[in-house]
Amino acid sequence: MEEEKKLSYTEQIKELRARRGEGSKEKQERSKEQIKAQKAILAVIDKEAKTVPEIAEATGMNTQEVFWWITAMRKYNKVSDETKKGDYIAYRKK
Amino acid sequence: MSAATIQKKADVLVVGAGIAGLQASLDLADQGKQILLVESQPSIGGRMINLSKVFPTLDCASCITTPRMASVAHHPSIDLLTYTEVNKIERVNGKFHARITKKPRYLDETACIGCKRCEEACTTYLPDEYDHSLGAKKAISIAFTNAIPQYPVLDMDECLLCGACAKACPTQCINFMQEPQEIEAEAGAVIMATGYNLTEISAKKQYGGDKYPNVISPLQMERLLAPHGPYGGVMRPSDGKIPDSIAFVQCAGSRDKSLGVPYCSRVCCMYAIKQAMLLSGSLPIADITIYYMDIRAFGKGYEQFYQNAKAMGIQFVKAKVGRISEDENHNPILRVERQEDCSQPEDVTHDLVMLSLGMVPAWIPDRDGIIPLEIGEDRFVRSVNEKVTPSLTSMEGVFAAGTMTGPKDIVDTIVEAGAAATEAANYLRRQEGR
Ligand SMILES: Cc1cc2nc3c(=O)[nH]c(=O)nc-3n(C[C@H](O)[C@H](O)[C@H](O)COP(=O)(O)OP(=O)(O)OC[C@H]3O[C@@H](n4cnc5c(N)ncnc54)[C@H](O)[C@@H]3O)c2cc1C
Ligand code: SF4
Ligand code: SF4
Repeated sequence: MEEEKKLSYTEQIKELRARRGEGSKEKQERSKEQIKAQKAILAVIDKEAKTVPEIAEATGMNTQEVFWWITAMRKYNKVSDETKKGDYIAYRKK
Repeated sequence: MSAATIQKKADVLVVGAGIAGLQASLDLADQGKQILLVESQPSIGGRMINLSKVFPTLDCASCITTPRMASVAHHPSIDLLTYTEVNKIERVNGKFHARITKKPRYLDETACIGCKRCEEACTTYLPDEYDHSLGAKKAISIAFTNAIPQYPVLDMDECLLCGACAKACPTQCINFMQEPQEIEAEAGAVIMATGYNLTEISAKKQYGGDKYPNVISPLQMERLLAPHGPYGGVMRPSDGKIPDSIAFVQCAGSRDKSLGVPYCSRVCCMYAIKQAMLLSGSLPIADITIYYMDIRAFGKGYEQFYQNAKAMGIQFVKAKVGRISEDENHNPILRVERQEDCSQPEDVTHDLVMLSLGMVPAWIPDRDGIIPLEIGEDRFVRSVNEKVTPSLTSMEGVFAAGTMTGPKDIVDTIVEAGAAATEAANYLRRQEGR
C-alpha cells in the first residue's frame, strides 16, 4: 500500500494506460460517442421541451437510445421533466 | 504489489447480507456473539432494498430494510466486509477457516467521505445494475442513494483513466493502483445466506428471449414502481411512453421442466398482484391483465390481497401465453390460449409486459465452490431436517438462512434467519461444552 501511494495520479494513469495498450483508444472512442449523443439530445431540448419520439426524430437516433440518455441525464441533473404531452413526458435541458 | 494478508476471528461467519444475513447477524450479535458478515456486492440489503413495496401490507421496502442495514453497519459486534468474495471455507479441528478476497474499490475507504464529487466529475456512463440496466451510472459511482456503506466503486474495466474523479475528490482517497486484499478468517460456525437469482429473461425463446425492450423482468418492474426509480414514474423502456395496457405473464420461468425449474417459485403470484395494484394506483386508467395458470396465495392475508386486487378492476385471465412477438412500435403481442372456454387462441397487444421469472439459487456449491454443501434436486441447498430444523445443512456447524434453501417470501426468510441464528448459537454452546 505504502509503495502504491508514492506514485502521483499522473504516474498511476500513465502506468495503467501503458498496461492497457490499444484498449485505451477503444475506451476513448466510446467516450467521444457518449459525449456526441448527449450533445445532440441537449441541442434539441435546449429551448423547448420535447418527448422521446420527438427527440429521436430530430436527432436520427432510435427512441430506446434517446430514452436511456434522457434517463442518464435526468439522474445527473442535466435534464428535467417539463410537461406531459399525450402519453409522453416532455424533457428540457436544465 | 498486494498488501499482507489480514487475519480475522469471529464466533460466526455469515455469508450474504440480504434480509436473511442481516437478520441472522443482528440476532447473534445482540446475544454478544462476534460476527463477520461478508457481502459480495458494494452495498448490503440484497434484493429487498431493490423492491418497491412489499406484499401484503404494501409497506415501503426500503423503509423496512434501511434501519436494519444501519443497525448492522453500526453494531459493535458485527465486522462488515462489503464488495468481498468468500473463496473457500474449510472445517479444521471443529473450526472453520475461510479464505476471503476484498475486491478493490480503487479508493481508501478510511478516507472516503461519500461526497459523490468523483461520480459527478466522471463522464463515463454505464448501465446501472441496481436499476437492472434501465437507468445509468458512472464508471465511479455509489451503488444507490441509501447504499451502506456510502463508498463508490470504480469500474476499472470501463474506466477511461482520465483522472477527473481523482482531481475532484476532496480527500485524495482514489487509488488507481489498489490491489485485492486477501483475508483469512477463523470462525466457530457459519451461516450461509446467499439468496436467489431469477431465471434469465432470455431463457424462454418463445417469449422472444431478450429481444423485446418492452418485455421486462419482475425486478425491472419493481424499479419502475419504486419512488426513486430510473424514469421517475412508470414508462416503457423502448420510448418512454406511459403505458395504457400492461400485462403480467405468470409462471414464465417456473413449473417448466425444459428450463430446469419444475417447481413453483411461490412468490411470483403475490408480487405480480402487488405490482398490478401499485400500477393501478399510479396509472388509474390503465388496463392491467394477469395471465395465470392458477393463483397461489399461500400466506396470511394473501387470499384477501388477491380478492382486493380483483375488486380494484385488475383482470385475471386463466390462460397460457404460447408465445410473444412485437409490432413495429415495439408493442408486445401475446398469443393467448384461454383455459376457461373453448375459444381459439387470440393475439392480444399490450404496451408493456412483465414476465414472472423463476427463482433459482444465487450460489450453488457444486458450480461455485466455497463449501461442499449437499443440494437437492432443485439445486437449492438441501436441509437435512426440513420439517423440524430447516436451517440444518449437510455439514455440521454450517447453517442456511433465507431463499438459499428454496423460494420464499420475506416473512418466511426472516423467520428462517432467526432459526439459523438460534441453531448456530446452540451449536457454539455445545462446542464450548466439549
Ligand atoms: C420481483 C420480486 C418481488 C418480490 N416482492 C416481495 C414482496 O413484496 N414481499 C415479500 O415478502 N417477498 C417478496 N419477494 C421475495 C423477496 O425478495 C425474498 O424473500 C427476500 O428478498 C430473500 O432474501 P434473502 O436474504 O434470502 O436473499 P437475497 O436478498 O438474495 O440476499 C442474498 C445476499 O447474498 C449475497 N451473496 C450471494 N452470493 C454471495 C457470495 N458467494 N458471497 C457473498 N455474498 C453473496 C447477495 O449479493 C445478496 O446481497 C419478491 C421477489 C421478487 C423476485
Ligand atoms: S478516471 Fe475513470 S472513474 Fe475516474 S472520472 Fe475518469 S473515467 Fe471516471
Ligand atoms: S470524491 Fe472522494 S471522498 Fe468523495 S465519494 Fe468520491 S472517493 Fe469518496
